[in-house]
Amino acid sequence: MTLTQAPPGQAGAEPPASAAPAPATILTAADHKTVGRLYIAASLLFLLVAGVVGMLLRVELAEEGVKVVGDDFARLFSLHSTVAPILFLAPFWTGLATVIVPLQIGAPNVAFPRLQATTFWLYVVGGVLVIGAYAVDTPNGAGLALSSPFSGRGNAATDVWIMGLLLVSVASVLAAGVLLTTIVKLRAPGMTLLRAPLFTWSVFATSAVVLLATPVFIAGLLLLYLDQHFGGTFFAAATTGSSEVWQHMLWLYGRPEVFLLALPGLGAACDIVVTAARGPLPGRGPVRLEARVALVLFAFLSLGAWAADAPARDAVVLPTVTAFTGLVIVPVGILALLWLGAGRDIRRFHFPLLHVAGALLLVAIAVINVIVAAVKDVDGGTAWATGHLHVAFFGAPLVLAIGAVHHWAPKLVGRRLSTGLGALELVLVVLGVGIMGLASYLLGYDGAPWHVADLAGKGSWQNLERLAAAGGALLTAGVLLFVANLMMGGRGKAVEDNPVGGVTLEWATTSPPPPWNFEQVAPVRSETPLAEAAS
Amino acid sequence: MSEQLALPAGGQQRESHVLNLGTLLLGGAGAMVFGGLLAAYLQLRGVADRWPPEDVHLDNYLGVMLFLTAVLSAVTVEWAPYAIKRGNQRQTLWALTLTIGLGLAFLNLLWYTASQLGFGVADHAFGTLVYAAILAIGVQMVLGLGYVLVALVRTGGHQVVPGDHQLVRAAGWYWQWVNVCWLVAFTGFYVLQNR
Repeated sequence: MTLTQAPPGQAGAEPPASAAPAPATILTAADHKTVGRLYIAASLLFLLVAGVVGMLLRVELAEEGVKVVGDDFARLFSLHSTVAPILFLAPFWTGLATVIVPLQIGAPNVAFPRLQATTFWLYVVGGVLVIGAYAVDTPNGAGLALSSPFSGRGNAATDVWIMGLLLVSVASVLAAGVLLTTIVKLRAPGMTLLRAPLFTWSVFATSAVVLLATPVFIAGLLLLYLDQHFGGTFFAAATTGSSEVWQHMLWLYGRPEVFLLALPGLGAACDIVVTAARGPLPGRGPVRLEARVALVLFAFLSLGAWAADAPARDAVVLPTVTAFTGLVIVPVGILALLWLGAGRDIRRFHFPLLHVAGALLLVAIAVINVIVAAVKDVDGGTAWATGHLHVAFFGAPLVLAIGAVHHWAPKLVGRRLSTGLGALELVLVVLGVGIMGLASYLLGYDGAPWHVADLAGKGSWQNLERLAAAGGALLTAGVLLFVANLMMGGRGKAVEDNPVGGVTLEWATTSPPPPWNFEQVAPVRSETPLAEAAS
Repeated sequence: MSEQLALPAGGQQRESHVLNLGTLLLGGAGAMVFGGLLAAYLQLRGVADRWPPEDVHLDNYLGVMLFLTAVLSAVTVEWAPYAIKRGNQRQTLWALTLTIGLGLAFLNLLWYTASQLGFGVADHAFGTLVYAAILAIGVQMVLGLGYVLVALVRTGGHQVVPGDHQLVRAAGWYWQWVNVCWLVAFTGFYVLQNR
């Protein structure tokens, strides 16, 4: 006999007796799996926008004097740099967490299903407003890429841009609250926090930092809106001290944000390795804390790096936060060692392991270039930064995101994706990011600036820009292939409940899971309950 | 297998506080919004030659009235869970109704205060900060009113009973968060305005 996970009256539960789900429309969907899938689909659409714009910018840069985007380079650059991290990667992880976390902890739904559905619509409306603002005009100050304060009465695009970002920020705060409450309060009997899977831990840490940092950015947007809409002087250069206010409010959000784009990916990579090894990651004692401490440390350090390179006047904390930024690599190193340590237990090939390896390769490229840049004293305002952002903060998390979808596809879409297509998309994405990143790194070492439409400099710069454009094309092809695979791969083939030999709770239910997730969940006794049951 | 039937003592206890935790997190996020504004206030006040700007004087009478209204609502909103715990639904309804009334009075007075400030949003950084604080508190108060209204309707419909009254408790906690935010704003803009 076991505990039924959907007793009458339980928050968010639907009793199995009324199992047949009503044909919920997209607008009224409150099942966490539907909401999560919608999040993922919308984030991929926004990635498409960012990708198309990014390719236009790459083509513009590839040929000196050619005007592909006319005089709109700055506007499109701002759109690209805002949409890719804020409207793609962060909401993608929110969507994946919304689907997977309740399954991993044995819950019938997220804590506040309708609120989570509301956050999705806030995100979509906010995202459309942000993109719409760029369609109208260039928002005053050229957007998030610049941390300089901007003042004076803004245009209509600025108002719409701020409103869009406000909605997206509020959505992310509420979604983080829902996920955190779900993890703390809705775990299955016996599943202590220390027994929760590592992806759940990474979502826990990410949500905590989002709850702390993003509201400060909301306060900054509120001040910015009042300043821009009413033509105030709050952020005017003549107003003493206000420039630091915007910089810190922006970077308290922006700095952790770029690291948090990777944190759920690290948690997903841990679960991929655990699945392949069919046992927990190595560690000392009955409670293996190492991986969990590494994930929490990564989140803590990301918050500590909030003002690492903000040119804040009299910023006495600057050396401290720079050290925090450098230390972020320590938890990543610990996790990589734990993954390697678990390698000896891997008896069979698990395809998403290749994604973990691909992400590690990109991280290694980024780390090597950080060291080289430190030795060569490269200026941060060069094309080097473009390469680093694309390799470390977009490429590696993107590869992990694709790997996570392959890993959890049976629970996400009820089928296994094609591994043939998957291998091709992985090669294209890693190669594309690698080539584009290396070309940008080399441009940076040679002193080429970033954020400019035409590089009027050495002839070799043009060749490197063409190489970067070729990398961008490979990356775009890989992402399109992934989307096609997600939509059509493996259709018509039956999938088992646990086709990957998973050992965590999400693999104890059917593929795809029923609306109430679990018929029954036995009390959890370890962090790999399915391995324990098998033995 | 039989020993696996035993559930950990904390299992059901965790479930019963879902709304409380969610409310605390939401209130915490709201407090961080206000914390951001407070940091901006401290930064600007610290470096300003003159604070508040010349010819700016906030009416202490309106500030104190807002403060007293907030304090009164803090008492009535705590009265609600106290009464429902003792099974007194009538008193709970009265407490929640009074809280809503005081909340509406607070919003009305906040609106009036904004109209009597004597300076605009765009006049100076101080003005932008004051209006931002008023807007932030106003939005949080509207959310709090909605929360208490839901608690009132559900209590009236006998959906909140002794032992299962976390909705009333959680609504009260959120209300107190808003009050704390106002207390901070009151201290910064009124109590310390000429120091």
